[in-house]
Amino acid sequence: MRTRRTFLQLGAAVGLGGFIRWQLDPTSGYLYGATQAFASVEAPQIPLASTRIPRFVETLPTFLGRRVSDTSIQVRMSEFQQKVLPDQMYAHLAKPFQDGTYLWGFGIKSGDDGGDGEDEEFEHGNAASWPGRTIVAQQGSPTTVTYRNNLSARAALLKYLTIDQTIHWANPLHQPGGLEPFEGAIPTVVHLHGGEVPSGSDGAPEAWFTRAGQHGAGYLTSRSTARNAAVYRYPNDQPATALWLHDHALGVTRTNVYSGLAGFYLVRDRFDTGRLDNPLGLPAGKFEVELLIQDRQFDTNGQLLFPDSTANPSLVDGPPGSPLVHPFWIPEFFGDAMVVNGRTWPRLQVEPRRYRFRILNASNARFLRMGLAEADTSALGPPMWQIGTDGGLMDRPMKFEGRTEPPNQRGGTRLFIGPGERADIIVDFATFARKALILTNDAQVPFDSGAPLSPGDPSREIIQFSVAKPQPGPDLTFDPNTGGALRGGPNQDAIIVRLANPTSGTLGTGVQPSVKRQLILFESDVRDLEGFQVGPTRHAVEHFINNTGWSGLQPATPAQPVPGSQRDAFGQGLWMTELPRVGATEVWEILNLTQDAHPIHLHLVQFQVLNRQAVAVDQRGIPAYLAAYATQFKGGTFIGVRPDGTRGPVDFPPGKIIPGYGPPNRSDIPNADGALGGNPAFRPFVVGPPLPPPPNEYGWKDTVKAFPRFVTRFVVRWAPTSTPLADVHPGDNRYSFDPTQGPGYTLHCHMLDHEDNEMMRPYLPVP
Amino acid sequence: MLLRTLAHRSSTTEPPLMLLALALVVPAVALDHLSHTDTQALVTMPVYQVLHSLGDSLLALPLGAFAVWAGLRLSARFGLGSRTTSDVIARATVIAILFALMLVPGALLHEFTDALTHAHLLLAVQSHAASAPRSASLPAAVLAFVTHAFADAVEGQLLGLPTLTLAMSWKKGT
Repeated sequence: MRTRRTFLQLGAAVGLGGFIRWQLDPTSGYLYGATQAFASVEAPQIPLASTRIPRFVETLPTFLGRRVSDTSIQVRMSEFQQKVLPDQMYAHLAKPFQDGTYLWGFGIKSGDDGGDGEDEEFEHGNAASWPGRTIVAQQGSPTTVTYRNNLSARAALLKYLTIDQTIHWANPLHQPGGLEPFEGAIPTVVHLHGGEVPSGSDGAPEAWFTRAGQHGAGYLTSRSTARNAAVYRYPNDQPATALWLHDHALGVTRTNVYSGLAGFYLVRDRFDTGRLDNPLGLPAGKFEVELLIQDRQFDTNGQLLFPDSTANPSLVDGPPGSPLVHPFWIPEFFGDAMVVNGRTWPRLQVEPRRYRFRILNASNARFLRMGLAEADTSALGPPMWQIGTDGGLMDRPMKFEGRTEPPNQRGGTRLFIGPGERADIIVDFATFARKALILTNDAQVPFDSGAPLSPGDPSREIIQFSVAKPQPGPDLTFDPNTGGALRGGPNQDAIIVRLANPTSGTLGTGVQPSVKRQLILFESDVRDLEGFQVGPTRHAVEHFINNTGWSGLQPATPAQPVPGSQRDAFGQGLWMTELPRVGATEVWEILNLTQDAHPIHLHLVQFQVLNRQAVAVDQRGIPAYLAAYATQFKGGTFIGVRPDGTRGPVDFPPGKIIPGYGPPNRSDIPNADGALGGNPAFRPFVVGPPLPPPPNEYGWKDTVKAFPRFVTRFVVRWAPTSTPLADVHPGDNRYSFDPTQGPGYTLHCHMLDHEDNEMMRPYLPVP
Repeated sequence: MLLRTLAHRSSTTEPPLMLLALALVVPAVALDHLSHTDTQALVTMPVYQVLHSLGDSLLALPLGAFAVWAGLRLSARFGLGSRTTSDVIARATVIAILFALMLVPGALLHEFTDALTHAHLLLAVQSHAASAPRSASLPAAVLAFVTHAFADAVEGQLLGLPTLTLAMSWKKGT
């Protein structure tokens, strides 16, 4: 009797234990919901597990008939509500949430505002949306855009997007280092990503402005306008490609873009006209579709959730990793819901024929490695033919079959793009009539130190294509499967000017770089200031390009500029180390000493990937270079993170890396490799052969993936992409504007959480 | 048969098996949980942490019960009595060691439970916790796992052993 009772008691205990654990599951447990604190510090938010969001219910919003094309355009940044989740999920919510998710976005309309500063009401069709309506520009026809910031301090979304004032940011209320969330008018500035534009119209991080009329030190307007506005002129000299607009304000880009401040900007030329009769025969009209892909997280009221609290240890993101230094900043945002054109997991009805998709990865930090698979069987879908990269059409299409591959695959059969990168692709649905296809993703987060995505991970699916029944009549559009070229033929643009030979991974014929730069990527952590510690308690504090923060000042009292830097002439208080001559061709080598890949983006220019080469690592996977790098630091007292996790003066012994110090040596004096940058030479540490770029990098790029434990090399020229090699030399300005003037440009990691926290440097071409 | 024997024996000289098992398991698991949880997570979600620890304790209770049963039998075979305090401590120590050994395979079960009920936690990458070194061979990985699990289990006994001793002494005292 007692035996039976004991067994029963043990069985009941195990059952109760299992039940408790089951109900503590963040995705479905009621106990979890009841026990957790709120996820946001400013507004009560309970995370919505994305497994509760029905997929492929709503139709993909497209821009057909809504694109804006004019020589003068007005853009208003304002708050609005939009149904991002399926409509049915808002129906049962209380006011005001039932009207949709609060967002900030671009309202876009054609025409000039006259420069009088009057804030016209935007009619319904021009109202703000996420993404903003696509702007279409014509090559050779400049566009003037008036950007107006209407985001007030009372914006509802401000409560959900906590602005961390401890990171280096726009700070319009001059509250440096404040531990309290910011509660003023939101600073914004719009960058045309990939655009060849004057620096005064580039959307420099310090060029922000607010509704209240405050301006950053880099603010510039091409003509007089209202205090809460700036007028930018885009020359549109470059060939046809897909650029994009997004906010770039210092230290708040991650939250501003997260809120919805993003949209496409398509450049057309006389070959790629966007019309049905375009000489290239590319799919056009309703067969050309923009896909702006992002990951997001939502709360149970259908509102955006951006982790900012130690009370949010669940779901995809954990709490801020270094709360004593940065109370709300998280090192990388990864959402558990996939959003395309402002809708979670939408579906698109397509005809069984060829489509052109303009794909943009506008996520904060998520890489995408994509393929197409049949929804019912997971069988391989049609291949994706890439016809263009960041900077325009490739010479010929590249095929990506989208097969299942190992998690650490970097250049295989799937279409692989990091944050900020675009891919212009053609998909032929002809043989998939009456089938449903899923655009799948299998890139782990972070890439690539994260664990492989589990089979049920919600980010594995992005959008569904429902292919209709066969249509009568042939598809006469460009067929990439026939091997036809996109450039170099009749009615086609000239072939790409080759700075690099992509098949051999060597310099293009006749290319003679005048300068080589070697820069490192580095991350400082709470526990380990060497940046590469393997362990469960590493928490990133800051990320750096060449161990230098945005300002170029060393973390000392009083602050000293990094040796070899030059003060910016515009008066932003920045110290620049990358000062290429306009017209010069340079080779840049980026050594990534962090654990994950970083998408490195340069403003103003397009470049070509030369090759990548591994560096030697020890048994723990730590680059041997790191030790050599550390030995060059001479020590001293600098502001850093103390062992207790707080910030303050730290005594660094000789041989210890000082985060934010800059390179250990003067950046303007060549090292043993003949490279500028102030670092020990890379050459003694590289192993194995240089690897040519994968096929999806065969064209012009403005953003490149720098993989950990690799040197990534690219060739960059400060001249328009179409300029022949012989027509430009250092000191020659071939742009239609003077890029040596104004607040300057930037180079940065396009993981928005990184660029907001020091992984960004100003640069300016010099005469 | 085993439990019947134990139930008979424990009814005369020891507290009920379940009481001893609870006295051993709950504190040991709680200490392990505490040592593996960030301070911030403890502060911000205390109820969650308590429930998590309680759930794990209940799941581990059969292991604790087996350790108590086997430990008492082993102690009897070694001739350890229950009259003096040192006898009680010795018996409790035998039980605690057995429980620590049981917790090594128990750690595997715990991982399995986590994978079943907290799939998303595996994706909680914000801490930037690095994945395990990829070069580790299978024997090395198994050894590392066993060593880690046993060290944790022993750590848990720092609290489990005293509470078990108290529970055994309490019955003796009454």
